[in-house]
Amino acid sequence: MDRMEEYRALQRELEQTPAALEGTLQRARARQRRERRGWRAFGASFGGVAAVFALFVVLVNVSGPFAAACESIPILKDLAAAVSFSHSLSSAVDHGYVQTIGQSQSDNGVTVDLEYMMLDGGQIVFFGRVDAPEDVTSCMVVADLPADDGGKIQGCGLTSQSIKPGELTTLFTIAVDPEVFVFPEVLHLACKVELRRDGGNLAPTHTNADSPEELPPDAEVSFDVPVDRALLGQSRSVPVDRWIELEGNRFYISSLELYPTSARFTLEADESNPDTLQTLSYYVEDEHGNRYESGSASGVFAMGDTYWFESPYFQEPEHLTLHITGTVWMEKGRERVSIDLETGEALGPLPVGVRPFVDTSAGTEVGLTAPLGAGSTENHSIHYQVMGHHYYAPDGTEFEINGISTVSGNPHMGPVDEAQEAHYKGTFTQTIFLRNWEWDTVELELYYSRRADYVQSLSFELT
Amino acid sequence: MSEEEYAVRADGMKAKLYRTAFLYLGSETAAVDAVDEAVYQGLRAHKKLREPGFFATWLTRILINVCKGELRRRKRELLVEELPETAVEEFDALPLKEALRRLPRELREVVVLRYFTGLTLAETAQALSIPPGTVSTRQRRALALLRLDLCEEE
Repeated sequence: MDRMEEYRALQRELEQTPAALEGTLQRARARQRRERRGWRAFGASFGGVAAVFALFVVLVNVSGPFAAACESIPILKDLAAAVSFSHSLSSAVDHGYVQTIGQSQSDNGVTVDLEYMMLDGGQIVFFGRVDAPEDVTSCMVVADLPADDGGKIQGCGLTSQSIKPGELTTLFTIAVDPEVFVFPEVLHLACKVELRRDGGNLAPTHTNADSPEELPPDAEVSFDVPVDRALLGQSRSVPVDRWIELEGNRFYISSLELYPTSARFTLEADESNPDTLQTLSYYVEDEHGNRYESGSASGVFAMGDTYWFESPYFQEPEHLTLHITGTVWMEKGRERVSIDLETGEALGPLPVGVRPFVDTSAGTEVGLTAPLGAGSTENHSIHYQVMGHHYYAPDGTEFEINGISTVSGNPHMGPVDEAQEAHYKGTFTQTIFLRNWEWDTVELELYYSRRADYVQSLSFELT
Repeated sequence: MSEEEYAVRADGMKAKLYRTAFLYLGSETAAVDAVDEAVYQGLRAHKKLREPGFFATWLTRILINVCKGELRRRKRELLVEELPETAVEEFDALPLKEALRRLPRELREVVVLRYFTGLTLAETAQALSIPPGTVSTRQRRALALLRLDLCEEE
């Protein structure tokens, strides 16, 4: 039997489906009914600790006097100070939407107190403090959420930030894609603690886990945090059902998803749009002039075509308006540009103000130079993404960009050249190194073809 | 999308989902379990699907995640060892079903979706969250290793 005959035989074999497949939908519905009954029982199916704090949360969320009593508890007042940077989280604390964890773990002279969380169907924010030796100036708790088999749970992203030891603050957050993420019964959190002693802050992003330069953490602790499934149902879907047009491109917004600590909407692009929307700058405003800024406590601004903003969940406004202050576009079909590594010239169109950069003095460094972002000053340069995530060889082989170097002003190394300094004044350059590059051209993926900032925001009524 | 609409469409996709899961997991029982889980997860999330036109790729993506989860759980058992792309002669010597199972994961999933589940190149890109160009590259490599002369166009 040749390969094509094998292929056809395998296809025929796969057309025979087992009898068990017939009951798939019925089993799914039965499972859903069982889960709904379990949720209504609240603490009935949970163990001791989980049942206690499930009851705590239910009381806080339905009982005005109880919530008021919580506001007078000093602990929650400390938390109120810790979340003052976020409208959503402050509002959640004001309404008592806080779950107590109260766990503490120590390793190698470092103690992590995981004190509270705010959990809803969109994100989980963890609050606590780190006690570390006196000479530590900043630290970071980098959390991971391993699956039971040691792999990664899909549909979530964890973020951490540099914090001061001893202060009650946001330790880390988990942003969730509700269409993919399945909340487990218990969150098994594996945390690595990194300490800094030189007065600087740790960057909020981390090197690739496979990087040989990565140092072992200063401490490792883990926590098991039960999930109160009753909280997952605390969300509202507000219908919008309208199209908006931006720069000749149409987008459909079906609804707003409001959770207690975050909110989001999805811009579904019309397939015939000439451009791909890469970045959106926006905020949402209610009828009282309250602004709900873009982004969330987890640091997520967008996931694909879903955009996050501060939640009006507890304010329950009647009308919400979307204000768009800027857009970044990639014209379809213009996503890549070839650079001649010998002449340093671009062999195709580049965005306005962008020019190619090539330096072969020490290996092959290639990139793009662009004007600094609006609002840049002599002491503060604003950069933005110019290149995409890949580059290509002339034979079509795709390479993923794992690290970009960004330099303000003259990117060339070596003695100061006044003419060069003038040439690069007011710009920044993003570059990559091409290792063992056999060709004389490279195709770079662009992030954008044009950018627009609106002095007068583009406004669209959502509700 | 209403629950009834979801039920009709998911039911209509059972066979395709089963074929995909079987080629991922290699066993009838595991494939039925994976389809069960994917259809259940889809039922829970069906209200959030805003564009019914993407239903097939959406439900396929849920299934793929379920299959990947199962494969990670099995990792310790090391049921099937993947061959490297350079092992051309070894692929040639294997029966097609076995050769398919031993393809590197990223090549196998493209071939399964394109040539056994019937997704277009664009749908496959969407289901796997990778660019269409990457789908094209991987399917070319996989078909070369499997010595299958199948159409690579949409």
